[in-house]
Parts: sequence; structure tokens; C-alpha cells
Amino acid sequence: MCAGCKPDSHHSQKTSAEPAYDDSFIESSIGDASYLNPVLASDSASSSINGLVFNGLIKYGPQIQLTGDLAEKWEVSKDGLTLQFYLKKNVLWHDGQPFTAADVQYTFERLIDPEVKTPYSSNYEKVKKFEVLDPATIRITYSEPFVPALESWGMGILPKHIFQGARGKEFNQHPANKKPIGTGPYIFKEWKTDEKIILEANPRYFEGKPHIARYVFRIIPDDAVEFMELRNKSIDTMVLTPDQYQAYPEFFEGYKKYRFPRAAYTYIGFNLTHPLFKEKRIREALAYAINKKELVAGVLLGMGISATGPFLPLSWAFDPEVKDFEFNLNRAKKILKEEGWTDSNQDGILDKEGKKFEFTLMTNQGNKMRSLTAEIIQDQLKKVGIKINIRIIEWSTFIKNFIDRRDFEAIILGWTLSPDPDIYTIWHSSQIKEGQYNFVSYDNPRVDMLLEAGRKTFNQKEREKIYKEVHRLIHEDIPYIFLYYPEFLPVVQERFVGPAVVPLSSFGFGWNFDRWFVPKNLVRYPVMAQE
Amino acid sequence: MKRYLLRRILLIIPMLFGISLLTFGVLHLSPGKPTDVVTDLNTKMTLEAKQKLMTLYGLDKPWHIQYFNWFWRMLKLDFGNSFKDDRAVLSKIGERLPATLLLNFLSLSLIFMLSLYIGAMAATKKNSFFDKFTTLFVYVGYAVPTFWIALLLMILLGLKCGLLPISGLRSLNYDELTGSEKALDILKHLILPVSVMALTGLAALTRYCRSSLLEVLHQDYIRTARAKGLPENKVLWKHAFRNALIPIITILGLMLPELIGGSFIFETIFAYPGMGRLGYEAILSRDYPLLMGIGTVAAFLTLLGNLIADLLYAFADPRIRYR
Repeated sequence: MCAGCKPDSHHSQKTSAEPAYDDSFIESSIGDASYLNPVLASDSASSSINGLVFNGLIKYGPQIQLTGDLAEKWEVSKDGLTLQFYLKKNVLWHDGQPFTAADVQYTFERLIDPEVKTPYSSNYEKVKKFEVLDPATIRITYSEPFVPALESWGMGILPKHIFQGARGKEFNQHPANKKPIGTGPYIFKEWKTDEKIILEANPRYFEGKPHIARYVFRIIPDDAVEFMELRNKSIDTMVLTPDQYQAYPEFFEGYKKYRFPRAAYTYIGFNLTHPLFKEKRIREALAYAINKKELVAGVLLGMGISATGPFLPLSWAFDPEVKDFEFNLNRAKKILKEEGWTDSNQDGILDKEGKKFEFTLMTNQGNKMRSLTAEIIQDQLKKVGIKINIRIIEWSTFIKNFIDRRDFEAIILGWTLSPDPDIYTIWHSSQIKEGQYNFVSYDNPRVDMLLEAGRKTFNQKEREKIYKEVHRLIHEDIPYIFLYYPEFLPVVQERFVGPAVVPLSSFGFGWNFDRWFVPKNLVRYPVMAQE
Repeated sequence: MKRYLLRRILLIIPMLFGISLLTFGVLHLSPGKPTDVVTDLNTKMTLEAKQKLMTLYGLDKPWHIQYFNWFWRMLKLDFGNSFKDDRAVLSKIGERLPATLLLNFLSLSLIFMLSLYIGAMAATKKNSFFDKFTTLFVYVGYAVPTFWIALLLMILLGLKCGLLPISGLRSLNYDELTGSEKALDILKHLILPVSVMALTGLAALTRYCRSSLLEVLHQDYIRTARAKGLPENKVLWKHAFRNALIPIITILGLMLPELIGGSFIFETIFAYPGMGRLGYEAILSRDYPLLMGIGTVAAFLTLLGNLIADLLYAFADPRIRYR
């Protein structure tokens, strides 16, 4: 599975020099951050910074398993209704104040504050009671058992004393949203709007002082210029596009390239209420007629893997036993024939009872990979006698007028995956109302039952079994044809020791950034010498 | 003159009102809402949570009420807070304006000096090699895509020769530099954007200047000036040039909003923190308050630019009198 996970270049990392508590790491981003406050921010730029400045009660470990972060440990009651967190003691905020349960309570109260502009309130709706038992113990009671709720306590915890009890609008506009104080490995130093954000290592970090002394977040809004800055060695890392990945080797002198699946997949979704796609056999024929290898080669220049289901291949929920539909034109043609679709008038397009096999495949504007996918599929299905009309629509019109209203025949879209495999909102038959996410109108009672159970089962082994079955069933029912997982293609300057590809990397390559270091003899931007 | 000025200034108010109403209308007609970035296909948000967010941004009210609320606050010079980060619109604009002014002032000055010189030389030596060469040169500058020439120069001067930084306004170690080093650092960062901007913006003004001067040079009073034996230098710069300037002043007035508007393409390529990027990103994220703020400031400056150009006419041409 992990054949493609190793770094491309095999430079020897072995240096005799010991790790330095020095040097800068320069990252770049297309956009600037918005709020340096994890409760309010939802963009990736802000999350990169917030992830280094703040800690949650828990976090994901390398194998996508939850482990303690600010919490030493936690307990789930037998009925699954109460969570009890035991907080780490002696954790200090960047300003030296001690971290306590009151901070967690304050953060929670803001998350459910109706006046706070947070996109995360839905995750905490099921909380019935929040109790601080003592400064290091918290008990949370839920109205029903809800496993994904655990994950929601990975939310960055805010310092109550800095916000001084601000609520509502005052909280939204608080100056600390621009000058954050957290508990994390890096301390906020400076933010020059649309230029850069600078963080410095936290000497009192509870997991030990990070080695890299300074973290610089540069805003470079143009991809081509970013690539040039990489070539110029003025940034230390970048996430490449497939064509950049295949640039001349001289572009990557001094860098190590990585490739592994990204936490996202692209699919064709069928409107299952449409007469053409009601019949599973028809969808099966389409699945046999689509050559995913050709798609990966054509759209992603080979930088991807074909998909078989709604989970990430590196995740524990993924069932490797699920066999993909092989590309087989004859089999597709045979099925279509059995279903009564023949080319009776010899025009190259199948027909049945005077109707042609023709449908509209929609996708959104501005995503070249999706429109390219649509074109290749159009060509592939032509070979079995199916005519596809492609319609590319501006994003918000596409969502509001077609997806939300279920006014489509087939679509190409993608989902980003979260570490927790709960996919109730996409596949449960109760989620078919306007604006909800089961827009293909998928309805399988067994899957419904499993998805409900998956939300209530805290036992990891059982949960694994549940989601593996979900994977198999959804694959067999073909409500989507799962096309591919694009790959994540980061490069990192080779003086950095520590970048590692693990299942969690799919959700962010810097998952263990606070453990990275530069050997003393390779330090490039000495920070300590100046001070 | 005073009455004229007063009337013109008072006229700005209804114009601003009309412009802002149109801007607001167009914004709300375009598909998508500011909250879409967060809510679209977000499986972790319930419908109620999405509705709540809309209410908090005041997007649940009909658009004319939203406009009225905005206008009422604007009268008190309160442009509201940006939807992106809840910071005051005016302070966001104020943060970007100096960088844009610096870049545009430098490049516009360069454009003016170069194009007046090239235009005048080309007009006096019409159809000469210099005329033909500069015509070709300014048109080539006008025709090449900005981003392409910018990237090529970055590769040549930044990557291959290592003479200039590739992008940005300041180096990362800017804060550790001394005063003169800081100035040098910014200067180095400005060379590429200013010259690319000048190169691509030279054409219009050069051609205006050339044709306007050519026209003046055919006038009777120029012949008179030459006939009475004035040296050619004096004929050109004192008699002809001053009259040829009048149409140029119009362009100067129209360039004032450009001075603060900034250019999205430029600022994106050079990672330059200016107004163009601010506006463009606000459009993409449907940041209504910020867009309305930028729109109003830009409209005001355009109107002011027109007024100043009109007043300068009178200054340059004694035949024009305002009453």
C-alpha cells in the first residue's frame, strides 16, 4: 500500500551533528490568515498557525488514533453518555499563567454562544451538561452517545484570562484574535497583514521545547511565483501540483519530494431517483466502462490512486478487501444489452424503446481537474455507446440551483475526508432534504443501521468492523463511482530531519513539526546567534 | 469660480449615493453569499447552524434594508467590519494604501517622465528611426501580458543573476536592518514591479503626447513663433508643449483612482501587499463591507480626480474660465 510513500530522493540523512535548537522554517501560503483564534477560523492558512499556537484536549496520533494533548487521559462512561477529561497539570499559557479547566469551560461556552461567529457550533449541540469537577477535571454529559463528539475536543483551547470573559460580538472582535496566546509549541511573535506571520519556539512547551527556533509563514499569492521562490531556495517547503512535481530535477536540488494520498476523493454521483440511474445494473455497467487508470494518468499525471469507497486508503476504516470494478468494456456492453439497451438505428448511441442513452454530467467551474475528468469520461463512455453532455457551472449556482434542489442527472464532485470516519450526513437516508448532503438520494437500510451504530460504538475494534462493512456496501450499491484520491505532493528542504509519512500525514504533513530539527552543522538561518 | 467649485463639490454627494447603490445592487445580484466559503458542502454544519451564521452577518434581511443600514452607518463614516476577520474596513484600507501609493506613485512618475520625453522627441522627429523604434517599443510593452514579462524578469534578475529579490515588499530580516539598509531593501524590492508597471503602461500616454504635440506643431502660432526667429528649443518647450499638455491633464485626473486602486495582477505576482489584492480577495469571498468601503473610496477619488483635472484646465489654458 505504502509503496509510494517514501521520499523520492534517497539522500543520506545521517549526519553526526546533534540537533540544533536553532534555524527558521519558512513556509508559504496563497492566502493570509483570518482569525488566529481556532473557534472562529475555518480557512487553512489560519489553521496552520492555530495548530502551532494552540492545543486541544486531545489530538490525533500517527495512526489516526486519538491521544491526549492537554488532557492526560479521558474516560467514556459505559452508556457512552459522559466523557470525563483529566487535564495535564503544570501546563502554562505563553504569558506564564497556568492552564486550568476554567479555560476549557470558557472555550466551550463561546462555541455554543449564539452571537459568536463560529462554524463549529453543530459539533457541540448534543452536549447536555458541562461540569468542572476540579481545576483539572471536566465532565461532559451528552443527550445521546455520539462518538464523533470525542474528536470535537481537539478544538484549540483559548485562554479565559486574556479574553476576560468577552462574549458575543466582543469575542468576535477581540484584539487577541490577531495576537494569540496559546499553550502550543510556538509563540506568536508578529503578523504583517498579507506579508508574513512569525512564530517562535516556546521554551516552556509541555512536550519539550521545539528544535526549530522560528517559524515563518510567508504569503505568496501566486503559485508560479511560489515555485520560483522554491527554486531560489527562499522557502523551505511547498505543496506541488502534479505538473510541478515532474519539473526538471534542478528545481528540486536540496529538497526532498514526498507523495502520499491526500484526504480527499473525486467521484461521479448519480441522481438515484432519475429513471436512467435507478437500476443498479446500469450503474454497474458504467463502473466497468470507466478506466480509472487512464483518469489518474490523464488528470493527475499519475499522481493519484484509483478509489474504491468513501474512506482514505491509509485509514483504519478502509477495507482493503473491497475489490474495484475492473475496466472491462465487453462486460459493460453485455450488461447494457441485457438491460435492453441496443444501438437499433446504428448511430453509435444506445437506445431503448426509442430513447437514447444520453445524460448531462455537471461539475463546477474553476476546477480544471474536474472538467478534465468529465471530458475523459465522456470519451470513455462513448465507446460503449453512451452520450454525455458536459455542463460546467459557476460554483454557487451549481450548489444552490442544482445540488441542493437535486436537479441533476450526474455530477462530478469531491469530498474532503476528516480523520473520523463518520459519514452519516452523506449516506444516511434521513439526509435527503434540500440542502442536506445525501443529494444522490442513497437509501440502504443496512447502511443506515451501520451508520447509526458507528456513531454510538466507542469500541474501536467494533467500529472498525462497522465502517469496513459500510465501505463494502456502498461500493457494491454504486451510488457514486469513486474515481480517485489525488496525491499530496509536498517538498521539504533536506536539512530538516523529522518529516515522516504516516496515515495522519494525509490530513497535514506538519503533524509532527514540533519534533523536526536541523543538525547543528546545517543551520541556515541562525536565530540564536543574534539574540 | 467659488460658486462653481461649491456646486461641483455638492454634486459629488448624489453621485456617490448613486454609485454606492449600484455597487451594492450588483454585489447582491451576483451569485453566492459571504458565508458560502464556510457553509457550502460542510458536512459538519447543520442547517440551523448555517442559518445562525447568516443572521449574525445580517444577511437574512432583504437587500434594500441591508443597503439602508450600510448607508446610515457610512454617513457617520463607519464602514463597518470586514466579514473575513472582523477588522474595521477603514483600518484595513489604511494598512494597504501606503504600499500601493508608493508603488503607483513611483511607477506613474516614471511613466510620465518617460512618455513625455519619448512623445515629444517622437513628435519633433516624426517618422525618424527614433519615432518608429519607440512606437514599436511602447506597443510591445503594452501588448505583452504583464504576468509573463514579470515572470521572465524574475527568472533573469532574481533566479539566474541573483541581483534582485523575486517577490514581496521587504526581506524577512527587515526588522533587524538599520535605517538606510531598510530603505535599500525596499528599493531593491520595488525595482522589478515599478519597471514592469512602467513598461506595460507607457504606450497610451506616449501616443497621446506625440499626437497632441503634432497637432499643436501644425498650428499657426507655432509657425509665427518660428517665423519671428525663436530658437527651436523655445518653440517646442515653451509654446507648443504647454498647449499640448491640456489633453494629458485629463488623463492625469483619470489616473488618480488608479493611483490608489492598485492592480490585482501586479500585486499577486509580486506578492505585494496592496489595494488590488485586498479588493480582489474581497470579491472572491463576497466580503460586502470591505468591497463597499473600497468602492466608495475609489468612487470618491475618481470624482475628485475629475474635479481637479477640470480645475487644472483653467490653469493650463487661460481661455477656459469657470463660472
